[in-house]
Amino acid sequence: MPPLLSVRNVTRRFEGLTALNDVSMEVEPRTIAGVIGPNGAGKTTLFNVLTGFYRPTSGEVWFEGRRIDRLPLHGIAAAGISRTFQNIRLFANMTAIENVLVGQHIHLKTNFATAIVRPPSVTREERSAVKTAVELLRFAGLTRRENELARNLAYGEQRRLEIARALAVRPRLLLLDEPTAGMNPGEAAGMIKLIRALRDDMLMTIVLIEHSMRVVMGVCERITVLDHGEKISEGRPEEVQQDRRVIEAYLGTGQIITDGRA
Amino acid sequence: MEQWIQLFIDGTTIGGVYAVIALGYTMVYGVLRMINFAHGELFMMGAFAGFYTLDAYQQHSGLNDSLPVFTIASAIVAGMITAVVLAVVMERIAYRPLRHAPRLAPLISAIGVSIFLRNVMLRVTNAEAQVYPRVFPRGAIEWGDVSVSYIRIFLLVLSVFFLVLLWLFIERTKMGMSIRAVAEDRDTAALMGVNVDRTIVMTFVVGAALAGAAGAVYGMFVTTATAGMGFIPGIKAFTAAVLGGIGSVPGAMAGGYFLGITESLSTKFIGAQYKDVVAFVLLVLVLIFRPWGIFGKREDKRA
Amino acid sequence: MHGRNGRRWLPLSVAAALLALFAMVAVACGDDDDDGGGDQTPAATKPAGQTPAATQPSGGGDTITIKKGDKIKVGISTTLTTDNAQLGIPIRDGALLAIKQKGTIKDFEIEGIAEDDLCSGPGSVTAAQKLLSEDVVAVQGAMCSSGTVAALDTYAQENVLVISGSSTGVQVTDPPKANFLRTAWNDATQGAEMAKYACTTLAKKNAVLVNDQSVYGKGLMDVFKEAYTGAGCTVASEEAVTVGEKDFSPVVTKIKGENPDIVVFGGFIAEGAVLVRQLRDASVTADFMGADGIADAKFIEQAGGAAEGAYVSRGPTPAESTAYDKFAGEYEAEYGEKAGQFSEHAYDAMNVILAAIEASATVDADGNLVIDRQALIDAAHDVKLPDGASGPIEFNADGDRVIAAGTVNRIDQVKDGALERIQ
Repeated sequence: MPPLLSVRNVTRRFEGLTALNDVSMEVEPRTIAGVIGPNGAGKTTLFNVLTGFYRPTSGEVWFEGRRIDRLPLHGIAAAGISRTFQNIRLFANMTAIENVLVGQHIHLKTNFATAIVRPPSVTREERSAVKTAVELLRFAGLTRRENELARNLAYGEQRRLEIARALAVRPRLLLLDEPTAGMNPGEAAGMIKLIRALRDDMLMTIVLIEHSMRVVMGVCERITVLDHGEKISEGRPEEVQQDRRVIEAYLGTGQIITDGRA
Repeated sequence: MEQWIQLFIDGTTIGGVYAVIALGYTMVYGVLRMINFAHGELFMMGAFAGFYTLDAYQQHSGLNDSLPVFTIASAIVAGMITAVVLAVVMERIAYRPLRHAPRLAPLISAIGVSIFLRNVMLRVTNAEAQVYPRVFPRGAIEWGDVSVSYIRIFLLVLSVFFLVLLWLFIERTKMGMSIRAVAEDRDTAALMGVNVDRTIVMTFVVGAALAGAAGAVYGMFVTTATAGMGFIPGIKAFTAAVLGGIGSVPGAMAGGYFLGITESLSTKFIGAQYKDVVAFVLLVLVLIFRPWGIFGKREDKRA
Repeated sequence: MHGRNGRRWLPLSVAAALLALFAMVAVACGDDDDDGGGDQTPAATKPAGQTPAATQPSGGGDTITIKKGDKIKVGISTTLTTDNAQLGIPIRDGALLAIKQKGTIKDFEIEGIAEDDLCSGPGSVTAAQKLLSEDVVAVQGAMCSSGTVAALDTYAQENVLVISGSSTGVQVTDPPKANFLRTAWNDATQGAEMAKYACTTLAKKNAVLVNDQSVYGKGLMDVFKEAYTGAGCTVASEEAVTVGEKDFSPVVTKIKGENPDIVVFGGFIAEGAVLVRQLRDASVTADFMGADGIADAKFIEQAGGAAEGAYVSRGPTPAESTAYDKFAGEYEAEYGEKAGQFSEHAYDAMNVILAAIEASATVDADGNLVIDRQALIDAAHDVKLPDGASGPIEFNADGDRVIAAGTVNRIDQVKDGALERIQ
């Protein structure tokens, strides 16, 4: 099977600082891939390149056989990619269901004129959008929280709402930036379950950035390791775990790769 | 007592106009974090479009009906269309190129647009006030000494109607939701597939349509249009938007009525010459003690 | 990235916006920054000992040399934008007509340079700076009293001759300024005459005064009030309108409550027309009286029928004036429009300037024109125009016009949509 996502020799510089240096990686359809690395390794920069926040200084990003590194931000969603953020970025003053509805916008046909005139097709479409949103919220474990303002949700709920919103775009590739950051073990376990369900039930391809080795090793099938903007290793979890360069990179930061797996 | 009621009604009328204009300021601020200083001039252009429409009808057929509903409606629509076209052009030419410039740049650009529009109309009108044909019957509803003319009733009702319509648009439609999403977090909204450029244009369009319609009706109310007529309502509406908490739609509505009524009543209990002073003292006090607005919630100000 | 951090700079952007806002307010209506309301001594009663020369500043630029072949530049400070441009443009055109008719002085061509003074203090100071940077010999202006009061310092520093045809405010020549003259009437005269007419001739004993918060409007109403109450009539209340506003409902409501015999307005056309219309719409039947700031056909036109019957004071005017008719004919022939209120005063002011240049300028050995600024000012004080378009012109020591024998304060009434002289 051809790769769904293909990152080809991407370099990204910020005025003298090279945040990504000649990074390549491929993600097969319906896998859960992980990107790990110490702080400042370039993981979030990579996500920002994949989602159009940053243009690569050189190199290309291809998705489903189409080059996407020149698309405008809103074109990324239309192409079929969606993401969550390390520091949650919900529309805080909108309700949970409105957050999800915004994600569905590209799939609605209403325009300004029909929004005013409201022919039956629009009413029908809006009703089905609301139905979908409710289902997504249920899937993300937010039943009966639909009309709560996003900022009033608990931390774990906010993370799950971000995923529900990302799903509303109907992506084929979902990028999760530290989905369990700041969660207690119970919440984290729930999140891992949710991530597996996304792949197994919704046939989603997932790339996640993680700090927590337990999550990465437990859930990812392929892992790419970044350090100082360069790819230093990739492969199956147990292969990466044995890689001397990976151990060194993590030892250098005082973190131990087998954290929690002993 | 009757005078107080009359002043209250006077204030509610102009307050409704402030509120409708203030929405344009607050929505554009919401999505762009920019004060569109040319917004008052859109109001003025709406008044002129209304004037020229009515004038054309008058030249053509003489405006003989007692209440020419269709004529009035077409003057309002002409005001809306004119303001919308201008707003789209000004966004494209004067603001979009400056979106990533320092914050003062679009502000200065907006002042430039405002001066430009005002001077165009000064040229066109030779600086003379244009007198609106009278399209509303002169009568009034009287209650003791309180008198509310028909055109005033129309203006009062129409501003409430516009406010409700706008509220429904913002809260209930897909586009309204996009506007709110872009106002909250432009980049994330884009990633969720919201076309930010189109949403920003739409924000200008909606704000301009309101200002243009308000201009045309206000023109019928004061039966005059001048090139400078957008200036004072513009700054008053801006004041109203800040009073209500800039960026907040219900705040702009409440701020408009609050300012209009306060001004009107202060004519009586402080003196007409201090009316504007009252408005600006209020503004300064709000900025010092409640910068998030009288009606805004402090929690809204997230870090 | 934009994101949430956007909220943090709210105060900064609001502050920037406010700064711009206040700057614009200052330009648009910033005129009442004086507190000289109580200082209403008519200029004519000034102690004789206080000569203008005593307050004369030591300015730079004592002489101006205009090279052979260059033009003599004369400035015109008037209102070319804002709603008051409808008064300001005919003022400019009146002044330009004088220049055109004069043609040359000692074989030097004359050029009139008009700058927009916005009818405001700050705007007139800016106009003054622009005109000075153009090296003008003298200036006709500023249009509004607010502007003249503010800009005179700037002109005085260069000892530039300034003659206004339209600044009627009492404050303008109180205290007098050495470099300033006016062909406009001092409102000390006009306000008192209006009061006399309203109280005695019309026998309207109870008035509401409305001013536009300008030096002119407020000053005129202050003079009116003093003379009106002095004559035994009552001022029920004093109201104010904001220049640029179009809805005066609260003020109208208040006036209605006072039920006066007459409403007297000190201000300009734009506000005056709206005010009288809204008074009539609210069924206020009291008489309406205004002054030279609205004495123009445009006032009647913009009032849309509501001006009928209104009284309009136009300042001291000869009983009949062939000079004015001649000017009016020439003006209309030149511009294809009727002369406006103050057109003739601006025309006269410019003629005084030109006569003074003619009297004081000398041609040196190289054929250059040399003008001594102080000599120019002195010459202007001595100019007499017995056939001025606005009546015979002669100046007193304060720079105000001497009221010629046989002139009365002209009052017009709007009859059948036109101004008709009744006094």
